[in-house]
Amino acid sequence: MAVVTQASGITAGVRPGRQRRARRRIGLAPKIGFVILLILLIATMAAPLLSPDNPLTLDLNSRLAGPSAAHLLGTDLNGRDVLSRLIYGTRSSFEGIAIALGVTIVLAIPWGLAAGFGGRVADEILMRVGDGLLSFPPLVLAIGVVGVWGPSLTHSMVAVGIIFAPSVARLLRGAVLPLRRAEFVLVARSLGVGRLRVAFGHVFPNAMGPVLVQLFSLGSIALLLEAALGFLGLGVSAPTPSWGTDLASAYTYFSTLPWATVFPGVIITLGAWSISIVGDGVRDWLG
Amino acid sequence: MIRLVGRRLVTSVITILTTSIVVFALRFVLPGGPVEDILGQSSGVVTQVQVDALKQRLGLDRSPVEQYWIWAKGVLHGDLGQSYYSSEPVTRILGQALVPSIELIIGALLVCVVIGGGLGMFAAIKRDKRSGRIVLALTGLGLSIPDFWFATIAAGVFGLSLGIFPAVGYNTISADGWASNIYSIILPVFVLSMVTASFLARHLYNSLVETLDRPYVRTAWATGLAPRTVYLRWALRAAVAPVLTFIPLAVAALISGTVLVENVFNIPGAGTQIVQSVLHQDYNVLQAVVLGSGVIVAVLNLGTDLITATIDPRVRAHG
Amino acid sequence: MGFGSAVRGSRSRAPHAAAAPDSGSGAAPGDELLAVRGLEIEFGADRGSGHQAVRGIDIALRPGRVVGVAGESGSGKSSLALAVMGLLPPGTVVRGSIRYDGDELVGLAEKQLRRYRGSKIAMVSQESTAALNPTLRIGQQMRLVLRAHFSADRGQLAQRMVQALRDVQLHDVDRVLHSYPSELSGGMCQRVVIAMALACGSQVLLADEPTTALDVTVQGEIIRLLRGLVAQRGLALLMISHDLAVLNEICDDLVVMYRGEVVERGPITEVLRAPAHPYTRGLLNSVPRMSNRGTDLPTLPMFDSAEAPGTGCRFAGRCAWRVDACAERQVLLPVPAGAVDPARAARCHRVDELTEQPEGLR
Repeated sequence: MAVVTQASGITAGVRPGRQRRARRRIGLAPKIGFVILLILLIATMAAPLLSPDNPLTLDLNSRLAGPSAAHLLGTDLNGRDVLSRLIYGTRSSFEGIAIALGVTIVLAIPWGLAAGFGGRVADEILMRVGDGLLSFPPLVLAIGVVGVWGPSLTHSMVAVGIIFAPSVARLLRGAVLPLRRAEFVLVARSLGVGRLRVAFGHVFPNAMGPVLVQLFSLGSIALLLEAALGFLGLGVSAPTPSWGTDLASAYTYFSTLPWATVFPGVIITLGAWSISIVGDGVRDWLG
Repeated sequence: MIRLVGRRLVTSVITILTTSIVVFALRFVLPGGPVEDILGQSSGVVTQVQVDALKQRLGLDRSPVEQYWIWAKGVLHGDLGQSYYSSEPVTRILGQALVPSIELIIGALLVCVVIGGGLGMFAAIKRDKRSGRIVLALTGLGLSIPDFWFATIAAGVFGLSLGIFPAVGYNTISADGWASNIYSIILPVFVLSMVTASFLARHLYNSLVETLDRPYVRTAWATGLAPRTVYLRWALRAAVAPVLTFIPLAVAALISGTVLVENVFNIPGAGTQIVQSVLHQDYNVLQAVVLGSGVIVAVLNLGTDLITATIDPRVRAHG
Repeated sequence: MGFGSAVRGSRSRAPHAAAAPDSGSGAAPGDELLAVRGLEIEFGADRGSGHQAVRGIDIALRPGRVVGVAGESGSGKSSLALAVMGLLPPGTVVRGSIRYDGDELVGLAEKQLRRYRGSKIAMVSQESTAALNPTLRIGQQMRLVLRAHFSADRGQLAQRMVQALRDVQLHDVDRVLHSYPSELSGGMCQRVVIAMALACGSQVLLADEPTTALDVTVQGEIIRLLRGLVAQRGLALLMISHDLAVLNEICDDLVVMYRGEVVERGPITEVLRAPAHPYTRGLLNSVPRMSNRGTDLPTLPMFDSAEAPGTGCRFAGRCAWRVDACAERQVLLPVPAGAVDPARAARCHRVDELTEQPEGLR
């Protein structure tokens, strides 16, 4: 393919046919993150099989024990096995993430589509409401909702889901707006396909990528918020294992056993990091 | 330019109105409501007559729209109601609680701009060197460590174990003087700033690296400007404009962060207040803190948009 | 333009590996303001996989004269300008000699180089609007540049700025000084860029495709402006372009570059009248003309960049005049037809035949 540029008349083919932009390679970090995430998910499903001990069993004879063969990560103030609690804690975390993202998706899809396909007025109203919600620091609004509904994992994570919804709705709307006029939507519409069918059949596949990436980063934030609320004592109720609550209780005996705060901290960090880095990998993979 | 400002003002007012409605609506998602709580605490048996009487006294018998109107008017007049728990006016409680919180947030912002800005610039200028890459990796680490865990470790190590800084408590300026006040918040401020500083550093790094590759930066080198001038006077200005949108995000993150940090360090600020208000079911205080945080972020968003418009002629021309 | 993106880390730039200038001829002929001798540029030499962008280039700039450099993108012509400015990306190795008024620039430390940049040697590059800082007013940018070279008070600096803008025939000087680049037209921006380049008294100007991004009428204005500056100030101008028509309007001498080498040099009228290298011919033939309207423009076959540059002629793969000797070695021969001028030379075995059939390919 010899291209003659008008100004010079010289063939522009300096490089032999530049390659089409391939999907970017996925780096090492997302792969590591994926493995960690997989392990955590398996722990969620198979907690009873994996944990060496019952996370709720009190053993007042071995309180605040260091790592040993019986308790790989030691025991807490009540003599409960720390490792088992961390493994069971994945359930609180991922249940929380599931609730939050579920609420987000259920709210955001109609919200974003209505804003994108609806007229200017509907768009304006829905986006302003979104702005209003987005103005709140997520933790503060979540605490506000928990304060009214009462502390519980479900309450707090439903609140988090509501707070997340406008950011996803905004993405969907952004994906819909250019599509609204795009040819294939016009063609579909002229063939008598209803608005909703157009939305689900044609708009979704196009908007899916960015939404998926966003859901990963929200999932990571949800994990941190679940831990933070638990840490403040506003998340799961007392004996249920949760990384945030366990971190808070480990801090109460920091002077006696400083490194007890390390395990829940590390697992929270790894959990949040793995989800967000897998999201990055998905973004790179989608190009 | 004036149209841009006008448009932004209108949308901000709408946003703030929405935040207030959101906050107010929190009340109505509650099945029982404060009435039952208040009566339930004082006596065992609650009659419908008692409930109705109290509802009327609190204005809860009116329609939600009316109630909102009365509440919003009160808020605009600086009346946020009374604490159900201590019967003090909410404004007084907040007035006291806000001092340490604002101090923490402003302190953290300053530290964040100095450290985060410095690290971001360093990483961008040294991007081809190992030192630059190490700094960049450190900021990545800073972003992924949860601030409440970092807070416990900092408080534990420097406060409880080493005893260099207080692990808990807050010394007020009026009672203990400036030095003691600052001494008591050094650790929390440092902890609080870590996440936002890392965030700012990465933001500024990306923006600056992109700017340094621009033809106009080559112009600067080609005209013989000194590196300091090129980085600070020539490139930074262009790189900072996109970073400005960071401020409201940072403040929102700092507000969330201060809730956690105040609770770890036991500082009597708005962050401990909001958690207390949940435990005491003190809805008016809770509502006020939530509303305040939303309004602050909305106002900051407006402010940065306007500043961006004045700094960056590209926005000004096309806004 | 690929290299342009890597102007950075000036202080941390890998040392310009200084090799001794190739001969004892040391002192350049008195009127040479900028003398480039045996210049070689190698990118990524620090990573082991060096890519030689420029090899063995000699160019001399004299006051009041314009030397044109022609070549397609990737020929190394922009790297040449960046090498003179000392603005090549980190890790680039520069060998040979670049002398400004007798001072050797290759191997100079960044700090010393800065004394030449902008005040002795200036550069103007392609995208005029992108070459100015979008977030600073023209006046602020010029003041920063002037302050880098003069210690003068605000008033004196303002006077200098006004004068510099008048010199490039900008009339509404006050408005320009208070404008952001986005508020000026492309042509005005290019004038400002030239004014900034020359404001500190540079006598050598390297213009890298200064008119490419502009439309044709503005192109003409900028060329007239540059011509005027050369005539009035005795500027030594190096004009880099892929456009022979533009070069023909302003240059005294022409250097044709192909894949990092000079393939032909000489007075521009001579070179364009009777090109002595097949590549130059190809360039010239592919310029659209009224006379061959309607016919397809001849194109040069593409070159394969993967092909290793051996000892042979780098153009051989695309050359219609190729003989066996081309694959083995290359020669830089004087062009007999212009033997009166010793600077007239072409890198081709068949110089004689080529000059005998000036219209050979047409």
